[in-house]
Amino acid sequence: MTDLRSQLRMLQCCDSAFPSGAFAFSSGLETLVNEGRVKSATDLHQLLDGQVIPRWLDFDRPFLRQAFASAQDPDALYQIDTRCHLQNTVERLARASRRIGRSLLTVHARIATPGAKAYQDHLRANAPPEATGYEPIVQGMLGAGLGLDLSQAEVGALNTVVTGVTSAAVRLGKLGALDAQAVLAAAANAMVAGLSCPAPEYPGAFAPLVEIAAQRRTAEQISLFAN
Amino acid sequence: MNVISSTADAKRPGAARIGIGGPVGSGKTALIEALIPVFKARGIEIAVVTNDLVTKEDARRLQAGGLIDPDRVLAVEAGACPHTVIREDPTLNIAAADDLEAAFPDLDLVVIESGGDNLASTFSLDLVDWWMFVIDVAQGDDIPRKRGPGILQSDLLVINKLDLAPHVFVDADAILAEARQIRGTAQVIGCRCKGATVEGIETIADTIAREVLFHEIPA
Repeated sequence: MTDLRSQLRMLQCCDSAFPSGAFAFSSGLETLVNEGRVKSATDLHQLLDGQVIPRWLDFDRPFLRQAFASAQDPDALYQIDTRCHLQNTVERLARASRRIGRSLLTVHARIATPGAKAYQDHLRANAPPEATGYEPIVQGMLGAGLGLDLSQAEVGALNTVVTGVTSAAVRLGKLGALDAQAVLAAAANAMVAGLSCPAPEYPGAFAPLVEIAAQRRTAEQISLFAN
Repeated sequence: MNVISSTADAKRPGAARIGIGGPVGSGKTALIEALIPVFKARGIEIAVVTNDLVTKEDARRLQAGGLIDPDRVLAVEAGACPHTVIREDPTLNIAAADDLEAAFPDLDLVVIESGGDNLASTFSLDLVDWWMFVIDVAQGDDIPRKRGPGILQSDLLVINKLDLAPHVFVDADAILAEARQIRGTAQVIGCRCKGATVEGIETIADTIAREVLFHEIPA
């Protein structure tokens, strides 16, 4: 049975008010909305079930688990971070992941979450900011530091991604705040089903709709989000 | 065991961080452009973080202007909510300021310019040590009267474009007087940043040097 303290810490860190910089990113959704490919709550639900959730389960989840297991070892975390960088083939999504991960590190270092300052210092001393600090590595390390169990860390991280994309859809005007909650409730089925399956041993991603959409955003495009 | 920190990261070493907020078009970037040579003449090393809503327009303008090393200017694309990125969730700006401090360890001052926003825009004290709010006379002579957190809570209220007052049929002195009455003891400075002569820029630089960098400059 998970203890109450870890549950509270998970709720704190998954709250939309927790500062992580994630509000600035739509993970390709904005392009899909602008192109008329996502027009409704139903479209968003399908996007979550078919693209966003599977991509997190196949790519981010294994890295999070590796980082969780190596949370006490900054150098091992750095090696995992570097592998995550090398396997990230979608630059705009990778950049968002790094910015969110590094923001999380900043916040948790300030509130003295165990492990955060040590890893932040390790990265500052050893690593270029454009190649490390990926979100799943930071989330895994922080999950262990916060005293969460691995399952809680996974649930929290996936929930953050799904709520972030859904929140972006509300800001883009494709559904209302109440519809968004219905989408989140429905998406929980795919999240539970995915998390109930064993994590892949090796990370890999194939979510071409969101990946190509994230890359297709042009420099001239006036956007509400950074990807 | 987690710790409760003060509003700002009081033990954080490094450069002081100041915010410049205010409505779009009020002259925030122009004010920075006017301040840069003044700071340079005083030996104050600065860097700038810009927060454009959806572009990197302000950062590119500063980088191309020749006033500052382009590497000392970083842009944070804040999306649709410029107040979010300086108040509710300032982490992207904190990371940008951290990057600048790491790249330029001799910095004295990091200037964080907000994207354009309304009179309710304020800065988180997690992000900055001190902040100013910039309005201009051409927005109307009733702006100070409308108050709003930016007008009331900023450490310094700057009223820009004094030279435009006669052209938009407002009384600049009356606006300044009303702003000073509304803000009580909090400082108000009028300025103009462009044209053959500038006004108020040295006074703003003095205020920053005195209140933020603790230079001994008489008030």
